[in-house]
Amino acid sequence: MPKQKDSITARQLMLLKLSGITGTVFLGAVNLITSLAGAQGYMAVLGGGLLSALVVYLATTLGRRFPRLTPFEYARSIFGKWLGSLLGLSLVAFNIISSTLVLRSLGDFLITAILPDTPISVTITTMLILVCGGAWLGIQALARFNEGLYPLGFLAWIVVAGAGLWRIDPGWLLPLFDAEPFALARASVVSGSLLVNGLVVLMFFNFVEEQSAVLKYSVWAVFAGTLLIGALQVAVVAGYSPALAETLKYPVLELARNVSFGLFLERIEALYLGVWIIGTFVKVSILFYAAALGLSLVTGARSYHWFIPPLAAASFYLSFQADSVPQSYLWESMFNEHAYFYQIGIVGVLLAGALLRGKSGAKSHE
Amino acid sequence: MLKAPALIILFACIAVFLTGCWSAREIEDLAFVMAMGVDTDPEGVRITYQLALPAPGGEGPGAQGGAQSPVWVTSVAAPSIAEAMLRLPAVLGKVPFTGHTLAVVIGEEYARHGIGELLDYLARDRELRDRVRLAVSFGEAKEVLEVEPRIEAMPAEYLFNLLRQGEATGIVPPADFLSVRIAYANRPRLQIKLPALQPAPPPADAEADPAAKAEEKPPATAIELKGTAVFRDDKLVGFLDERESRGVAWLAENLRMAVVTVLREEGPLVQLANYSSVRFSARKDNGGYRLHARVSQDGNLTAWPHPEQTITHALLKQIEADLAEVVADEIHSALERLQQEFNADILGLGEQMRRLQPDYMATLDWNAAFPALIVEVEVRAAFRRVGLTIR
Repeated sequence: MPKQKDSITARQLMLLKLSGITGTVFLGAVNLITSLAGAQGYMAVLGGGLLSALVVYLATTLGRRFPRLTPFEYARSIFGKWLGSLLGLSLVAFNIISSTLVLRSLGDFLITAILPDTPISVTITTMLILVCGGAWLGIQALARFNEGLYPLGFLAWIVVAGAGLWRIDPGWLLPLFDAEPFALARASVVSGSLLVNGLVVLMFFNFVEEQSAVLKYSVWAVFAGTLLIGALQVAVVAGYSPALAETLKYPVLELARNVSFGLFLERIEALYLGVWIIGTFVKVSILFYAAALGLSLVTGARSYHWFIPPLAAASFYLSFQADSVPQSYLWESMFNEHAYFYQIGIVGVLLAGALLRGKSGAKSHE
Repeated sequence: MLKAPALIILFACIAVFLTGCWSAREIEDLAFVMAMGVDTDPEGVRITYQLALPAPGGEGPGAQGGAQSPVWVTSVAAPSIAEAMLRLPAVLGKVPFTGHTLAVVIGEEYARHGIGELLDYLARDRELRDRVRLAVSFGEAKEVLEVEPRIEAMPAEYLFNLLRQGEATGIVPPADFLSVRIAYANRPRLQIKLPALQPAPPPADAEADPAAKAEEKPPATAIELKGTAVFRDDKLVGFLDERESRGVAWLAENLRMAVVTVLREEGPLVQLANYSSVRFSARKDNGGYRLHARVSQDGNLTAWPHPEQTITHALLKQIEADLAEVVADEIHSALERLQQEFNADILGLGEQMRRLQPDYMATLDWNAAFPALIVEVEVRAAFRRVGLTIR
């Protein structure tokens, strides 16, 4: 098995998680939450924050039991070679499907809103090549890069959310409790999935040097992500009215397009988008890295690098399976509505297995 | 050898900029649409474009002694708006760019047929901004776009600024594209209202211009704001005059510099109102609800018909009642026409009712209920400042 050399700090893990949360917010998440929960979308985001915090807590509890192992390794330790490998492969598949949907969604976004003359194959291929490069360099390089960049990205988010909140009509949020409970619950699950962000904490816990701080930093990431997405949700719904917001394909882009400083500094959304798309690159690179690493650990290969090209080929193929933007949006929505159940499910199964079978990292090393 | 984070920065920069080359458009290949006009046509629709012309010799608009107009106005007819836009490059030899468009003027006849197709097209346009102003012209929109203002080099900027000033005074409603989209998405609880305008008659001295040929009609040099165009769903159903428009504005908190005149026997008493607010409440009424609107406004006394009389606080309080009555009259006259003549809730009273009594509102067909809605209006008017003299 490959020897793990890379290590990151708990703060870098927090920023990776936050970058992943915000790296796709401008694509379709706010629209989906709004279409499910209407004016009460921000409540769904708060609910999603709690659901996400639960997953983070369970993932760190699990990680502490196996401080030196990745989930791909301790899954086999808990459930044996075959079942454990199957669980590990399910994580790989989850990461590849997630990253493929993000790539396709980004491609749709770019050709719809920014680069109408550019073929979607070009945008996806370009991003895929870059993602392969990022994954090839590894988690440590990505974490350090993200640590330097993310404050700028978060500042861009604060500017857009703040400018959006500046001109809201709070009356559109009334009545306060109007959404159907089931619809609100569905929207909370979508938000939860977004805020869990592909199980970053579960997959990279063992890379962190000061593991006792992971829970604190991860909860901070969830808290900041919840506040930001909640603020964007309010800005969209109360700025555009629930009825109009539901019709907007990219509501966060609409917010960004309307940020101006007087009448002299306008049309600066390209600045925000540049930073956000780099955040998407980090998110997908991390997912790719985790998938390649998982495959190398499951198969016992000496390096994860050799799995990156075939994973990229699979992702490239899958990203063109949707015939149109509405179809890819439908698939992405379906994934986002169900991803949380997988995320909490895999963490729950691994933790329950570890508890029931009395497994821990120390024993497995013995 | 580059370190890993530096390599990633390089990758990320490539990600942002590389694909942009494919969709790159050179500035000399673009035709900047400053304003658009939409009229009916035997073929379907006729779009008139006011296009910015490149400045000759690298100088500003209106170079060459001001003889050359900084814009070119041209029209394209087509069965649909989208097709008219797509036909434009064949006329111009350039790609139309609407990112700098400031105004869209809709001809009265087209507006009466319905502006749903237009709104749909504009909302899908990735270039157009939400702050672009929409307006309805009496007659053809093309005539408004052909106005050659003297005060501003770029006619679209003149129109844009004129509409913004008009919004502040209340003689036309605010009609940025976002407001229109919100209204259209929330009808019938909130209907579309747009400024109404028309070219001002040419100045008297224009006819005496010896350079002008006798048979040529001199171009209008100004635009008049003429109140509010009232829509039901996407169709124009009528107009409110300037006084009624301000009645609407009092209930929509749009006013920042309205001139309110109280006509008294001794002369006009004038207030420049620079603040207004409204608070709605729902009150039970025979098993249903009526709306109560409390309008508060204040401003400066700018004309006082009693030069011999010192203005005191007590005196101002006495005339505030007259002022409140004028404001209330404006509101009632607007309400009466909107409810009884147009049945179009451009005030968003249905939306207010939904916010206050959502269960009751859910039982109503607002198109049927709006004309019968009882709206109580309470006005609190005040003078805060009196200018630099006390008499």
